[in-house]
Amino acid sequence: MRSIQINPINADVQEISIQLSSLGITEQYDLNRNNEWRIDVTQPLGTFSHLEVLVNGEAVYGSPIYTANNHHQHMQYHLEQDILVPQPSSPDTMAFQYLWGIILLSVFISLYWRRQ
Amino acid sequence: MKSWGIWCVVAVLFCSPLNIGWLHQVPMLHFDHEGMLWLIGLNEYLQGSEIMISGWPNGQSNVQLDSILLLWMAYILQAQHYPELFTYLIAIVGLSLSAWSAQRLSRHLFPDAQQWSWTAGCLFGFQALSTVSILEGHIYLLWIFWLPLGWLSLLHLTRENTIQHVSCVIGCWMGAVLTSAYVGLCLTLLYLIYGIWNWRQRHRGLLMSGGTIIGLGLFYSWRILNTSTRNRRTVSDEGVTSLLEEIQFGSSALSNWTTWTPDTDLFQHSLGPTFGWLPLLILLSAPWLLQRTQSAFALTLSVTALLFSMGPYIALSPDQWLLPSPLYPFYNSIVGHYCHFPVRFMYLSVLGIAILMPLLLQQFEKRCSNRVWFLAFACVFEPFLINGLPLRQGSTPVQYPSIYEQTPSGLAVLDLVPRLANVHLVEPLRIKNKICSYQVKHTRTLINECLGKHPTGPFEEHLREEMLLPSIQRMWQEPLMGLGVGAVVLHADLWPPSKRNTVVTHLSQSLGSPIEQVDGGEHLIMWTLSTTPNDINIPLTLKQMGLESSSNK
Repeated sequence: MRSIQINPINADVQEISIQLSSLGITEQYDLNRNNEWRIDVTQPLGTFSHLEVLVNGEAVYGSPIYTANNHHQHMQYHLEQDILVPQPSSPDTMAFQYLWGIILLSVFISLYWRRQ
Repeated sequence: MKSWGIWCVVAVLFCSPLNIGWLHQVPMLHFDHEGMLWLIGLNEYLQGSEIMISGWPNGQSNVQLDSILLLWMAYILQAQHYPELFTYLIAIVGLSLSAWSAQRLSRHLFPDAQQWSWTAGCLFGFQALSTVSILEGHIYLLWIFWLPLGWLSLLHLTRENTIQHVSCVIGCWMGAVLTSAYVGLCLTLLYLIYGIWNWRQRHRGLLMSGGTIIGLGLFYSWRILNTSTRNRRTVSDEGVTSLLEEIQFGSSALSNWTTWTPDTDLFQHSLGPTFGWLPLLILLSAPWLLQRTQSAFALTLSVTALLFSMGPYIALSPDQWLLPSPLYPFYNSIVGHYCHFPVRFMYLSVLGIAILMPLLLQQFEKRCSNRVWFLAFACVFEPFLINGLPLRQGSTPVQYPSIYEQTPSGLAVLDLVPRLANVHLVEPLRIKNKICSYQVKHTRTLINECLGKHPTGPFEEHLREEMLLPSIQRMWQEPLMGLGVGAVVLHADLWPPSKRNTVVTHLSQSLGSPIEQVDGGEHLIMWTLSTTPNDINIPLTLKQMGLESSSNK
């Protein structure tokens, strides 16, 4: 089972649902805070799916989405701009990368001092 | 051979995400791998300068095909029978040969530092841009061994001046150009800087190879620039704001030199890191740590290539430009129109740095051995873990819908997709490449343009827009049959359900009852036309449709 996470920026909105259409099957999922704004997709997903955001039963945003791999698994829905922004799903190792850079920098500085 | 075998094992480990299920899925994240599978799978249809398998009825010119070498190799090795495995082998051979040749170059330049020459192989062969190439799906860009081999040939030629070395210098240049225009540009820059640096040592062999390369280069440029205008599209056709923005997107920026973030994969086509911490710190420290006589040429090469890789603007990030670079005046020239990814010059920059690493380690080996061993460890650790290939890859299944095989053979197929100009959760190029990749199995001619970097061709755009108008403008059966179209395939998963039903009803009135099939990862709705050879009259049909001027011929 795949899960897709969609965080509405305006959390006051209570009735948001997501309609997913893929491989000829259309299903609607309730998106609510109790479920951490996540929908657990029960239908099979193909290479592409069509995703619609419904607020109070009215479709406010729709777009095809690539679902062959996990590239777009987290999204953020900006209610005022009516835009669904994909969120990264790969781990953020930025701090570790900078730490690595600092360690290397210190080694090079020490080499420089040793050369003196 | 033994050392190349060891590099092959290292390459297999580096590509470990690629090893998993190479028969059914590819680990690349972006859509270029589908275009590459298309090229490999249909190699026998792509020989010659004009192809008719895509872009029907006008066909397409393949003069601007990036990797002619990949096409030839796929043809010779009959790779259409095993495209995914061939992709994997290309990656392993490319990575291992690149590392091996950088090691050879380093040994030749600094024989006293032979014991550390493997670090040059690691830094060059498994550099940050190799990770980027795998994620993007440009596997043939791992074939960068032409750069160290070209440099090595030049060194031999300067010393020995034999016809054998002249051939090697020219051969490496041709190999680089045929691998990719960008690799060719990198080697041209290397030869140019080498020529300027050693201008006093010119002799007949160097002049002969230089003259031949200039001649071949002019011929190659003439062939590309004289491509029929149907393959050229303006910036506004491509839907980008400006040529400058497009080139900046394909350039290296300070923010992506050393690090990557998950956003890099989502929004920047995985273009980062482009340089890496270790190469950057070697570049910054080498003038103080190494003797200038030993490192000056390599550093000049590296800094020049680094400058080229930044494109027209020195930028903090792809959308935060700081100040114009010396290349700014040239961005709107013919070079700028064809060279949209200056970041590829980083290959040369990293080569200049990588070969200095053994020298650095050798000089400090006795004075501070602990730190030297740590730096040697860093040559393995950074490419394998810091650049993040195992964390970033996304396994993409390779699937082919079988519905296309029910279309009449010998006739063209028109794929119908919605207009995708304003959506951003799926890239139009991904859809195009996906549709083209199905052609590997069904081999039917497509209206879709599969060559080139444009999401759609002008002719297919026109047909789609006309056919998807809410009111029926014309009965479509006859014109489509006149164009030699045997089937129309609607990609249902790309449409909102309500709109899809309207389109299906609308087209069924014109084309009859469709058949539906769900397999190979897609829900497809297909109308088959009973086109016979007598129905086909392309010039007349185009004229009747008023498409002569809008067609791309």
